Amino acid sequence: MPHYIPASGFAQQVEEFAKQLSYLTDDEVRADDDRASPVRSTSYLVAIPDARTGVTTTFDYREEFTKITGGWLRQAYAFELRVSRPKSATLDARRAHHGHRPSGIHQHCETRSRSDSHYADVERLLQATHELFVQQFASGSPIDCSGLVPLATP
Amino acid sequence: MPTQVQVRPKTLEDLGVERKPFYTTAEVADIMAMSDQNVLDRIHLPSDHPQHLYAVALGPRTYRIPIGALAQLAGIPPRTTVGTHPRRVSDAARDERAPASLKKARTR
Repeated sequence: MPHYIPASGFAQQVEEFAKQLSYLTDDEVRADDDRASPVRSTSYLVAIPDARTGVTTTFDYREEFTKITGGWLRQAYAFELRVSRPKSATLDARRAHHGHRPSGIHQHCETRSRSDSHYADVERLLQATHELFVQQFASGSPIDCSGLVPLATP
Repeated sequence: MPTQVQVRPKTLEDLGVERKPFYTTAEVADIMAMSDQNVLDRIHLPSDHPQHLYAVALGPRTYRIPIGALAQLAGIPPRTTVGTHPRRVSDAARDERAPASLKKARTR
Protein backbone atom coordinates (compact mmCIF):
# COMPACT_ATOMS: atom_id res chain seq x y z
CA MET A 1 0.00 0.00 0.00
CA PRO A 2 1.51 3.36 -0.97
CA HIS A 3 2.43 5.57 1.95
CA TYR A 4 0.75 8.99 1.86
CA ILE A 5 1.38 12.02 4.07
CA PRO A 6 -1.04 14.99 3.99
CA ALA A 7 0.69 18.23 3.00
CA SER A 8 -0.50 19.98 6.15
CA GLY A 9 1.16 17.47 8.46
CA PHE A 10 4.42 16.81 6.64
CA ALA A 11 6.73 19.24 8.45
CA GLN A 12 5.19 18.29 11.79
CA GLN A 13 5.87 14.60 11.13
CA VAL A 14 9.52 15.39 10.39
CA GLU A 15 9.85 17.29 13.66
CA GLU A 16 8.04 14.63 15.66
CA PHE A 17 10.19 11.85 14.29
CA ALA A 18 13.35 13.87 14.98
CA LYS A 19 12.10 14.32 18.55
CA GLN A 20 11.63 10.59 18.85
CA LEU A 21 15.19 10.00 17.67
CA SER A 22 16.41 12.49 20.27
CA TYR A 23 15.43 10.00 22.99
CA LEU A 24 18.23 7.74 21.79
CA THR A 25 21.10 10.18 22.26
CA ASP A 26 22.16 13.32 24.06
CA ASP A 27 24.31 14.15 21.04
CA GLU A 28 23.03 15.79 17.90
CA VAL A 29 20.13 14.34 15.92
CA ARG A 30 20.23 15.40 12.30
CA ALA A 31 16.95 15.62 10.38
CA ASP A 32 16.68 17.11 6.89
CA ASP A 33 13.72 18.04 4.72
CA ASP A 34 14.49 19.81 1.46
CA ARG A 35 10.84 20.98 1.10
CA ALA A 36 11.33 20.69 -2.66
CA SER A 37 8.52 20.02 -5.14
CA PRO A 38 7.43 17.89 -6.95
CA VAL A 39 9.99 15.53 -5.40
CA ARG A 40 10.61 16.01 -1.68
CA SER A 41 13.35 14.22 0.22
CA THR A 42 13.81 13.69 3.95
CA SER A 43 16.53 12.02 5.95
CA TYR A 44 17.44 11.36 9.55
CA LEU A 45 20.77 10.36 11.04
CA VAL A 46 21.76 9.38 14.55
CA ALA A 47 25.08 7.81 15.52
CA ILE A 48 25.33 6.38 19.03
CA PRO A 49 28.79 5.51 20.28
CA ASP A 50 29.18 3.15 23.22
CA ALA A 51 32.27 4.24 25.14
CA ARG A 52 32.58 0.89 26.90
CA THR A 53 32.56 -1.34 23.83
CA GLY A 54 33.85 1.16 21.25
CA VAL A 55 30.96 0.18 18.97
CA THR A 56 28.97 2.87 17.16
CA THR A 57 25.39 2.14 16.17
CA THR A 58 23.98 4.29 13.39
CA PHE A 59 20.36 4.80 12.41
CA ASP A 60 20.17 6.16 8.86
CA TYR A 61 16.74 6.77 7.36
CA ARG A 62 15.94 8.31 3.96
CA GLU A 63 12.66 8.80 2.13
CA GLU A 64 11.57 10.39 -1.12
CA PHE A 65 8.05 11.61 -1.88
CA THR A 66 6.27 12.98 -4.93
CA LYS A 67 3.61 15.65 -4.81
CA ILE A 68 0.02 14.59 -5.38
CA THR A 69 -3.22 16.42 -4.67
CA GLY A 70 -3.34 17.33 -1.00
CA GLY A 71 -0.13 15.67 0.04
CA TRP A 72 2.91 13.55 -0.64
CA LEU A 73 3.17 9.97 -1.84
CA ARG A 74 6.26 8.02 -0.89
CA GLN A 75 8.25 6.80 -3.89
CA ALA A 76 11.41 5.41 -2.33
CA TYR A 77 12.99 4.66 1.02
CA ALA A 78 16.19 3.38 2.57
CA PHE A 79 16.15 2.52 6.29
CA GLU A 80 19.43 1.24 7.72
CA LEU A 81 20.84 0.10 11.03
CA ARG A 82 24.64 -0.12 10.98
CA VAL A 83 26.93 -1.40 13.68
CA SER A 84 30.64 -0.59 13.53
CA ARG A 85 33.47 -2.80 14.72
CA PRO A 86 34.84 -1.88 18.15
CA LYS A 87 37.12 1.20 18.07
CA SER A 88 36.67 1.43 14.32
CA ALA A 89 34.45 3.00 11.69
CA THR A 90 34.52 -0.24 9.70
CA LEU A 91 31.15 -1.92 9.26
CA ASP A 92 30.59 -4.96 11.44
CA ALA A 93 26.94 -5.64 10.68
CA ARG A 94 24.08 -4.01 8.87
CA ARG A 95 20.36 -4.47 8.48
CA ALA A 96 18.56 -2.42 5.85
CA HIS A 97 15.11 -2.21 4.33
CA HIS A 98 15.01 -0.61 0.91
CA GLY A 99 12.35 0.31 -1.62
CA HIS A 100 13.74 2.05 -4.69
CA ARG A 101 14.35 1.68 -8.39
CA PRO A 102 15.42 -0.52 -10.06
CA SER A 103 15.44 -3.25 -7.41
CA GLY A 104 12.04 -2.48 -5.84
CA ILE A 105 11.33 -3.63 -2.30
CA HIS A 106 14.11 -5.69 -0.75
CA GLN A 107 16.27 -5.92 2.34
CA HIS A 108 19.95 -6.27 3.11
CA CYS A 109 21.60 -8.14 5.92
CA GLU A 110 25.33 -8.23 6.44
CA THR A 111 27.44 -9.63 9.25
CA ARG A 112 31.09 -10.65 9.63
CA SER A 113 30.19 -14.16 8.51
CA ARG A 114 27.63 -13.28 5.87
CA SER A 115 28.24 -10.97 2.95
CA ASP A 116 25.59 -8.61 1.65
CA SER A 117 22.84 -9.67 -0.71
CA HIS A 118 19.35 -8.66 -1.72
CA TYR A 119 16.71 -10.49 0.30
CA ALA A 120 12.94 -10.58 -0.07
CA ASP A 121 11.04 -8.06 2.02
CA VAL A 122 7.67 -6.40 2.46
CA GLU A 123 7.06 -2.67 2.24
CA ARG A 124 8.25 -0.92 5.40
CA LEU A 125 7.12 2.23 7.17
CA LEU A 126 9.53 4.55 8.94
CA GLN A 127 8.00 4.42 12.41
CA ALA A 128 7.56 0.64 12.54
CA THR A 129 11.04 0.02 11.12
CA HIS A 130 12.58 2.37 13.65
CA GLU A 131 10.86 0.49 16.47
CA LEU A 132 12.27 -2.79 15.16
CA PHE A 133 15.77 -1.34 14.92
CA VAL A 134 15.58 0.19 18.42
CA GLN A 135 14.43 -3.14 19.79
CA GLN A 136 17.39 -4.83 18.09
CA PHE A 137 19.77 -2.18 19.47
CA ALA A 138 18.39 -2.28 23.02
CA SER A 139 18.42 -6.07 23.20
CA GLY A 140 22.19 -6.04 22.66
CA SER A 141 21.91 -9.14 20.51
CA PRO A 142 23.93 -9.32 17.29
CA ILE A 143 22.23 -8.76 13.94
CA ASP A 144 20.87 -12.09 12.75
CA CYS A 145 20.44 -12.78 9.04
CA SER A 146 19.01 -16.25 9.40
CA GLY A 147 15.76 -17.09 7.66
CA LEU A 148 16.00 -14.42 4.98
CA VAL A 149 15.12 -15.43 1.45
CA PRO A 150 17.67 -14.33 -1.16
CA LEU A 151 16.19 -12.70 -4.24
CA ALA A 152 18.80 -14.31 -6.46
CA THR A 153 21.33 -17.10 -6.28
CA PRO A 154 24.88 -15.87 -6.67
CA MET B 1 19.08 36.01 52.78
CA PRO B 2 20.79 34.37 49.79
CA THR B 3 18.50 32.86 47.17
CA GLN B 4 19.08 29.23 46.28
CA VAL B 5 19.20 28.84 42.50
CA GLN B 6 18.81 25.38 40.99
CA VAL B 7 21.26 25.07 38.10
CA ARG B 8 20.15 22.85 35.25
CA PRO B 9 22.78 20.32 34.18
CA LYS B 10 24.09 20.88 30.64
CA THR B 11 25.38 17.34 30.18
CA LEU B 12 24.96 14.01 31.93
CA GLU B 13 28.59 14.31 33.02
CA ASP B 14 27.47 17.26 35.18
CA LEU B 15 25.36 14.74 37.09
CA GLY B 16 28.27 12.32 37.37
CA VAL B 17 26.50 9.76 35.21
CA GLU B 18 28.49 7.08 33.41
CA ARG B 19 27.72 7.30 29.70
CA LYS B 20 26.18 4.26 28.06
CA PRO B 21 23.45 3.80 25.45
CA PHE B 22 20.81 2.39 27.84
CA TYR B 23 20.00 2.44 31.54
CA THR B 24 17.81 0.15 33.62
CA THR B 25 14.83 1.55 35.48
CA ALA B 26 16.73 1.04 38.76
CA GLU B 27 19.71 3.04 37.45
CA VAL B 28 17.45 5.88 36.31
CA ALA B 29 15.68 5.86 39.69
CA ASP B 30 19.05 6.09 41.43
CA ILE B 31 20.38 8.89 39.18
CA MET B 32 17.20 10.94 39.42
CA ALA B 33 16.65 10.20 43.11
CA MET B 34 13.17 8.86 42.54
CA SER B 35 11.59 5.52 43.30
CA ASP B 36 11.61 2.61 40.85
CA GLN B 37 7.82 2.80 40.87
CA ASN B 38 7.90 6.49 39.91
CA VAL B 39 10.13 5.64 36.92
CA LEU B 40 7.76 2.86 35.86
CA ASP B 41 4.74 5.13 36.31
CA ARG B 42 6.34 7.72 34.02
CA ILE B 43 7.09 5.08 31.39
CA HIS B 44 3.46 4.00 31.46
CA LEU B 45 2.10 7.54 30.99
CA PRO B 46 0.74 8.37 27.51
CA SER B 47 3.55 9.46 25.18
CA ASP B 48 2.09 12.97 24.85
CA HIS B 49 2.05 13.49 28.63
CA PRO B 50 4.71 16.02 29.72
CA GLN B 51 6.05 13.61 32.36
CA HIS B 52 6.19 10.59 30.05
CA LEU B 53 9.54 8.80 30.03
CA TYR B 54 10.51 7.09 26.78
CA ALA B 55 11.68 3.52 27.27
CA VAL B 56 12.19 0.43 25.16
CA ALA B 57 10.25 -2.60 26.37
CA LEU B 58 12.40 -5.73 26.32
CA GLY B 59 9.77 -7.83 28.05
CA PRO B 60 6.50 -7.38 29.91
CA ARG B 61 8.27 -5.88 32.96
CA THR B 62 11.71 -5.11 31.57
CA TYR B 63 12.57 -1.70 30.17
CA ARG B 64 15.68 0.09 29.00
CA ILE B 65 15.83 3.88 29.04
CA PRO B 66 18.07 5.32 26.32
CA ILE B 67 20.60 8.01 27.20
CA GLY B 68 18.70 10.77 25.38
CA ALA B 69 15.51 10.06 27.32
CA LEU B 70 17.48 10.12 30.58
CA ALA B 71 19.12 13.41 29.60
CA GLN B 72 15.74 14.98 28.85
CA LEU B 73 14.36 13.68 32.14
CA ALA B 74 17.28 15.44 33.83
CA GLY B 75 16.34 18.70 32.10
CA ILE B 76 18.99 18.63 29.37
CA PRO B 77 17.34 19.82 26.15
CA PRO B 78 17.60 17.62 23.04
CA ARG B 79 20.00 18.69 20.30
CA THR B 80 17.86 18.31 17.21
CA THR B 81 18.70 20.08 13.97
CA VAL B 82 16.25 20.16 11.07
CA GLY B 83 18.18 21.11 7.95
CA THR B 84 17.36 21.28 4.27
CA HIS B 85 20.02 19.00 2.77
CA PRO B 86 18.78 15.42 3.09
CA ARG B 87 20.91 12.45 2.16
CA ARG B 88 19.33 10.77 -0.85
CA VAL B 89 17.82 7.34 -1.30
CA SER B 90 19.57 7.23 -4.66
CA ASP B 91 22.97 7.45 -2.94
CA ALA B 92 22.12 4.40 -0.84
CA ALA B 93 20.85 2.61 -3.94
CA ARG B 94 23.96 3.43 -5.96
CA ASP B 95 26.13 1.53 -3.52
CA GLU B 96 24.19 -1.62 -4.10
CA ARG B 97 25.23 -4.47 -6.27
CA ALA B 98 22.00 -5.59 -7.94
CA PRO B 99 21.46 -9.35 -7.82
CA ALA B 100 22.06 -11.30 -11.02
CA SER B 101 18.39 -12.14 -11.63
CA LEU B 102 17.39 -8.48 -11.41
CA LYS B 103 20.19 -7.46 -13.75
CA LYS B 104 18.98 -10.09 -16.21
CA ALA B 105 15.39 -8.93 -15.86
CA ARG B 106 16.37 -5.37 -16.62
CA THR B 107 18.20 -6.29 -19.81
CA ARG B 108 15.20 -8.09 -21.25
